[in-house]
Amino acid sequence: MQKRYIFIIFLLAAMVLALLLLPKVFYCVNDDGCKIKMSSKDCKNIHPQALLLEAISSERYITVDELSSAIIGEDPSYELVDIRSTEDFEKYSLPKAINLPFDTIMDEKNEAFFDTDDYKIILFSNGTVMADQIWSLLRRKGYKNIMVLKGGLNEFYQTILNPQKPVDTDPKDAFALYDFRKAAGPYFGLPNPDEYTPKLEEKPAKQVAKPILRKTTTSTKKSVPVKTKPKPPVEEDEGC
Amino acid sequence: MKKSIVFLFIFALLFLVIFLALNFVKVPEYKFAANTDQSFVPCAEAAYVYPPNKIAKFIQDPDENTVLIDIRSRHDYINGHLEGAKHIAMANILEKENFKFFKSLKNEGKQGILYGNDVTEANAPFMVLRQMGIENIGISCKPYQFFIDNDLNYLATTDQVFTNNETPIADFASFVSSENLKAKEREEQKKEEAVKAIAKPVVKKVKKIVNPQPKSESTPAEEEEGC
Repeated sequence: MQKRYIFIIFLLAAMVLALLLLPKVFYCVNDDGCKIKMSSKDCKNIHPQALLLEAISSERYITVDELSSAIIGEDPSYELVDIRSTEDFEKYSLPKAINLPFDTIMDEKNEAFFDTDDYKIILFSNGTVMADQIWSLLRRKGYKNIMVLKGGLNEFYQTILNPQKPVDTDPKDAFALYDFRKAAGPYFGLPNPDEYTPKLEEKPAKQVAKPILRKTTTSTKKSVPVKTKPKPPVEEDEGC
Repeated sequence: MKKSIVFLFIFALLFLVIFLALNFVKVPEYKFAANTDQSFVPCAEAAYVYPPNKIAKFIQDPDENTVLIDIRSRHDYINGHLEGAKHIAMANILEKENFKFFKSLKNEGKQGILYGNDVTEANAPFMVLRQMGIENIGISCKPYQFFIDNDLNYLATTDQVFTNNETPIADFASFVSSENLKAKEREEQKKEEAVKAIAKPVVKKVKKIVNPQPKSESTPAEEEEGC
C-alpha cells in the first residue's frame, strides 16, 4: 500500500520537474494569423495587447534635436531610413539616410536589415503617420530596434532648417537651443549662419585701419593737455 | 494520520501538475487576423483617412452607418467632444465590450472614424484594429481642436483640399538651395563692404592729423595776444 503511494508521489514529482524544466512554449500568431507553438526564444511576434501598449507610449519616438545631435556627433548606433518615394529622397534627405520606399519596405529582402541588435533604425517620412504605420507592422513582426522621428521632415524643417528666433522675453534656454539649431544647419546642407561665419575678409581691413586711427588719436590726446593748461591763466588775466 | 498526510502531498503535487500544464495550454484571447501585407495601405492617398469636410458633414447630417469615436481620455471627452461621438479611450480599445463594439461595426457594415488630440494619436489604435481584422475603420485627418477652431458650416460646404500629416510644409530641397544662394550674395556684399572699409580710414587719417596741428599752434598764440 505504502509502496503504491511512494510510486505515485515520485511520478507526480517527476511530472512537476519535467514541466518546470521544459522550455516554455507559446502560442504565437504568425504573419498569416495562424497559431504556432514555439519556444519563447523563437516567438518574436508581439501580442496585440502588447503592441497596443507600445503604440500608445511615446518611447519609440526620437525628437529632431536628439537626432540632430546624434548626426552631428556621427553616432554609429543609428541607421536612418527614409520611407518616402525615391523621387523625394533624391531631392532632399537627411545625411547618411538610406531610402526604403513605403511600398517596398516590407519586402523579404529587407528583413535582414531590420533583424539586428547592432543599431537602432530610425524611420522618417514627411510627417509621423506613415513612419508610425511602418513601425507598427515591423514591431508586430518582432523587430525591436525600430524608432520613429517625431514630426518627420516637417518638424525637422521647422526646428533645424528654419528655426524661429525666440522672443526677448523667452528664457535663456530657448536662446541656447536656438543657437544650437542655427549652428546645426550647416550639417544638413545649409550655409553657415551669419552669427557663426568667420569674418576673415574684414579682419585685415580693421588691422590696417586701426594703427592709423591710433596715431591720430594719440596726437590729439597729446594736444589736449597743452590746450587746457594755459587757458585758466588767460581768463584770469582778462578778468583783471 | 500518516495516510492523510500522504494523500495531501499527492493532491498538492497533482494540483501543481495541472497548474503547470494549463500554463502551457494558454491561448491568447486576441490575435491578429490580417497579415502585415493586408494591413499595409499607403496612408496619404488611402480612403480611410477622412478629410475635415467629410467629418463636418457627418456631424451636421448624422449618418446611421458612420460612427465617430473619440479616443482621447475620459476627462478630455467630458470637457468637449464632436457631436454624436462615442468615447473609447485608446488604451481600452481591446477591452471585451469595446472590441465587441468594433466587431459589431464590421458585422453591420458600419464605418468607424477615430479622432484624437493628434492624428498620430488616432493612428496607433487604428493600426492595431486594422491588423486584428477590423477593416471598416478610419482616422480623421485633423485633430479634435481643428473642428473647434473652424466653422463646421464652412468645413461642410467648402471644396478646399486640406493638408494631412504627410503633406510637406515646404520644398526642403529648394529652401536649402535658396539659403545657399542668399549666403553667397551676403558674402559678396561683405567683400564689397570690406573693400570700402579699407579705403575710408585713409581719408580720415589725413584730416585728423592736419587739424590738431594748427589748433595747438593757435592756442598759445591767442594766449600771447590776450596778454
